Amino acid sequence: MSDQHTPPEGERDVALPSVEQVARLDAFLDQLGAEQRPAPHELSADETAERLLAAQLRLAREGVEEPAQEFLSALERTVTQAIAREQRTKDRGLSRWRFLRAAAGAAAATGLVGAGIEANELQRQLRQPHDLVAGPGRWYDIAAADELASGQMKAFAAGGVLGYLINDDGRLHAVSAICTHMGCRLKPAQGGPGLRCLCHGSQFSPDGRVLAGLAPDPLPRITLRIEGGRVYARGTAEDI
Amino acid sequence: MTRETQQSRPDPAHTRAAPAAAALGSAFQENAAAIYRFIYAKVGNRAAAEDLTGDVFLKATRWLAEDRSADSIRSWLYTTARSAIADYWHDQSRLPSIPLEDFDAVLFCGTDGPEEVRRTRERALRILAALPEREGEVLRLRFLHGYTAAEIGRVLGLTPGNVRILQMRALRRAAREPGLAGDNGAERSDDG
Repeated sequence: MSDQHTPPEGERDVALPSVEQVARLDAFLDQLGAEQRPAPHELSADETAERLLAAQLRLAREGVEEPAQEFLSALERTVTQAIAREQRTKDRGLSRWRFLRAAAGAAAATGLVGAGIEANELQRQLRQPHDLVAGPGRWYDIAAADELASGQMKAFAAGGVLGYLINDDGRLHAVSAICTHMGCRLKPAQGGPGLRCLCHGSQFSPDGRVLAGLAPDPLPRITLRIEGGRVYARGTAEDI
Repeated sequence: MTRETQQSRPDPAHTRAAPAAAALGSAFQENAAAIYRFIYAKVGNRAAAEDLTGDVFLKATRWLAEDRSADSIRSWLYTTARSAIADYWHDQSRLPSIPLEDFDAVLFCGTDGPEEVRRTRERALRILAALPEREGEVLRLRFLHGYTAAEIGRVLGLTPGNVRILQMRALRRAAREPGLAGDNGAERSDDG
């Protein structure tokens, strides 16, 4: 290997790593310990080998590699959904929605327990976004009614409720800014109208429907009121 | 699949999609946790392990839509997981030219996917036991107890800077001397 970063073999360079290398490796180990994905760096062959090994030394701790149950459930839902979609694209006889209604209707009518995953999955896909109800909440002035052009959005906080106000083709609505998968803060999608999650890549339409990724549910809607040229969102009575 | 249209049947689409969903359901339940552990053993953090496991299974959905045997599903999943792990490390180290195969001996203990987690754990414990005393102590506190460099320093009466140098020296030594882990031909072959 003719990598100029690679020190020659021998004890000498084992004893003399650079200050940056030492600090970077320490940061890498801290990130592993926090179960975070470490940031990529340009690494020498030696540094790469150290990290490959360090990642595997975590297995010294019993049980560290057990998956979170919520992760497996969310993934199973996504995969089931994706394969159902795959099947449907092969099916030219029925439109997607006719198929879903017919199948879910049949499952519901007969109280089909045996349909298992299939019926649950269909019901999930038919599930509509629900409204976020902030209990004894209050109204927050979040924007002027004409502030957003079509396709624009604005982040807001209504007490403890974080949301996005979105002008979706002339209609104003507000959805939660928290991903339904693992609770990460959502960001506006790049080059598109919806929202996306930086944690695991879920994508949502402007009205909160799941377009892609591991998110199991649509984004809750936040109730809006438009009065005197202002937009008010219903949030919690107290701030965070 | 070629099928004539059956508009007289009450619920054709439902019956049609069911076998694939059932096959997927069992493939998923049998393999998802094991594939996650396999990936975790090679990336060492939950965030990346969840992302890569998700990638593998979403790739699998297209492939699983056809009828497959349980064995071929499993081996496809492990092969795909392996290449996802290789891509991950390539991205981590931004290695444009060095082939990752150069690191194969450090990255994998063998070619038998389902055995890999157990072997990785055994090798990790052997390495921690075989290192020179101080270096081994530092890495045991790191990996068995989850301590930071500052915390290890307090336990061992060292400065955090000393700990950082010791842990790098230990990892570099372990990565360079596969003999340290007691690796040998028998361990890397997958006969047993």
